[in-house]
Amino acid sequence: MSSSHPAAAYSRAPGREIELDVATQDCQIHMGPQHPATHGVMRVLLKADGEVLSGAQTHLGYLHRSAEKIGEMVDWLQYLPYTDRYDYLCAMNNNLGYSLGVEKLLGLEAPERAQYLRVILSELNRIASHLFAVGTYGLDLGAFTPLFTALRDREIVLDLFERICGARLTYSFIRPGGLWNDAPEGWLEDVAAFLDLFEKRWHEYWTLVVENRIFIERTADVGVLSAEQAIDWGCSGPMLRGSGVDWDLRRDQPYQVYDRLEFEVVKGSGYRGSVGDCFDRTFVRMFEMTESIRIVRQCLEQMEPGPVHNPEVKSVIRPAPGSAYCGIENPRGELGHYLVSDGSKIAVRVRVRAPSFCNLSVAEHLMPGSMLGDAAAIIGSVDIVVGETDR
Amino acid sequence: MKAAGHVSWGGGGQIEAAQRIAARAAEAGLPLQLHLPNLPPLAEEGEARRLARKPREENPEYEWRGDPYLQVMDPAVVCDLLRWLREQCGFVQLYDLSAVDPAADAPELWVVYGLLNLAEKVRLELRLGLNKEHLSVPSVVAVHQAADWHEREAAEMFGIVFEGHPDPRALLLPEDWDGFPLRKDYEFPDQYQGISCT
Amino acid sequence: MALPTPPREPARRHHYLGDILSTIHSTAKGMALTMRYLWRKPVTMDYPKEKPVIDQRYRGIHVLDQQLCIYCDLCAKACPVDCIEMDAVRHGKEIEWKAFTLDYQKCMFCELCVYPCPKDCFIQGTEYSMVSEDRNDFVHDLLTWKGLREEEPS
Repeated sequence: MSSSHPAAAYSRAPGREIELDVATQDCQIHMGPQHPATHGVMRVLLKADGEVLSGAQTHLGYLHRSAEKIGEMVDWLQYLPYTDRYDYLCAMNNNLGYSLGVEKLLGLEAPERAQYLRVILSELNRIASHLFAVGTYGLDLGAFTPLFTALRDREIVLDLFERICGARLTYSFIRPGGLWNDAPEGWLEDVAAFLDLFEKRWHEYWTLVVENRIFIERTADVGVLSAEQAIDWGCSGPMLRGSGVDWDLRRDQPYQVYDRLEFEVVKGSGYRGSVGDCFDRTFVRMFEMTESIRIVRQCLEQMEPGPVHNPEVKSVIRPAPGSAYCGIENPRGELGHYLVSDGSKIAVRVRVRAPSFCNLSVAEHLMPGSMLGDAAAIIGSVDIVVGETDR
Repeated sequence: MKAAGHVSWGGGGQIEAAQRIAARAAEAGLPLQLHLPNLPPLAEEGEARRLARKPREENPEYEWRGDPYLQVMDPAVVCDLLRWLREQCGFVQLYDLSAVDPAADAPELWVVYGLLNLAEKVRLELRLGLNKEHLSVPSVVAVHQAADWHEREAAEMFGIVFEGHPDPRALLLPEDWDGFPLRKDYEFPDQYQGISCT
Repeated sequence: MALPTPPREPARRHHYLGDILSTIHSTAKGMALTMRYLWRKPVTMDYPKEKPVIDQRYRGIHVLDQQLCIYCDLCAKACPVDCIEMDAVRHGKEIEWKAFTLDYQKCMFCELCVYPCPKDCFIQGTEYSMVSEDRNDFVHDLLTWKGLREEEPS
């Protein structure tokens, strides 16, 4: 095979090069729209030369629900339930991102207790979302047990959410100006109990998924994304940190009360392969869960009783004219809301900068040169939610 | 504990960064114009806060609130500008690129570039006015790869032509979709390919 | 057990024999963990026979107290998807109800309709089960709707 072949340009760790002696006719393979590894309705058109991928093209839009257009047609507060629906695995974070954007336009802040509760809720949701990500990633690679084990613990978080807001997936609980409700009696104690339980269970996931030899073989040195590429492609979250970039909005542009909390920003370090491979991205997710435990514990300690809603934020919100961008750290990366107001009760523009959207755009460039079986490993490691890429 | 001047929405340091970049751009002769919000970011207690909540007619003093932005006066230089910001000022990541249609009767669309400086931890917003009669702007994919999908999305949603985009297909909508949905003058279709949309 | 922290150093690389041993070791460890669950109580619920405990804050199917309702239309105005429709005639202070329908094909259970209610007469109840073969059954008239619980076979 000539050296100009895209697969030849792909470098792997020493000792694991693919033999590219035999060139066959390129073959097109449709992965999706209904494929378990795409985590939704998305199609990837793979071009394979034998067992080696020579190109990939992502086709989106199957789940496009025009969330941004809806934002221009409903009230500021009425848009809140729609934010649940772009990344349905971490709806609390989406609520928080949108609420912070509206608060920024209003120039008002939520009371302190509400800010602590928001951090607790979004970190619990981060645990739930990462559990799902690690579990389904195991499923993508052929391991069935981790998913059910992960769902068992995720269920506890959902039960906690159900008790505080009444819904299990689409919460609409964090609103501009604070929260709809204070935590019910005994809820905070149950959160602490869950953290103690989960701290023990975390080791099970470590054993079942990350320490598993088959998992390591499937992910280490696969889909290596360099730090420069990750920044250039607009990646964020575990995708960016997995490549070794030290960037976390919770620490670097702290919102809410994150500046009072101590936690570590986990980076990919090439624990089992090279920095920025699929393994490192899962590694980052695993340890972000332990950091979330740490954050929630500090919040539980520092929290004081008080109001949870700023009464100046009414149900009909009329922000001053202007535009504001507010980015927060979602489990999948930076969720940004770019809101434009003209002073009326309906937004001029609600732009959603979705983390999965930006992270996915790099996936098709990671695939050329890897094996056909690694396509699922690469897409799974990006941890996309198609509701968010298409919005 | 909470640092002075900290507000709970995140961001921060944006006004200083925008001022600094505007000064440097003026030195380098680049066509950037600074726009600062003339309402304080966090309306203080008392009179200022009450003023801020009054409707526009009663309070002609204030214009808008939110993030500062730099207006790009000439669309032709946007590639050079982003390259200059990337190489000279450290804005290495394009985190967002989108467009805004302010009103149906507005003469211009805005193209908004969001840039992130990972070392100094600040954001910068660039805004570009495009006449609706001539919606064409150079593609910045050559400078920031991240612009690839964002530009495709803006193109199909607003009808902006990004000249020199390597792969100008539709991204989220079908290839044969009529009209540009996020424009304010968009009319909702009754049917698509014989399927009722109502 | 202390909270684990991310390891700083890359893991030790194995060679041929070490690879085999580590494969056997990690598989055995994983299987042992899985086997441990074999004798534990199941975490799942035998759903139609056992019912989950529903919390008071649960956002289920709406309940209307029509004696308290003052026909102010605030809930319908707050609804993002316009799924609430009401019709009544006022006779002075008395309200003669004609209809109060809620379209559950559109409703997204966000509870935005409940908060503005000045009389707290419109709440989301704890019922969650709504099954039908006809789409029109999901347009509920809350004036006459008595709930599904009683009709379900026990």
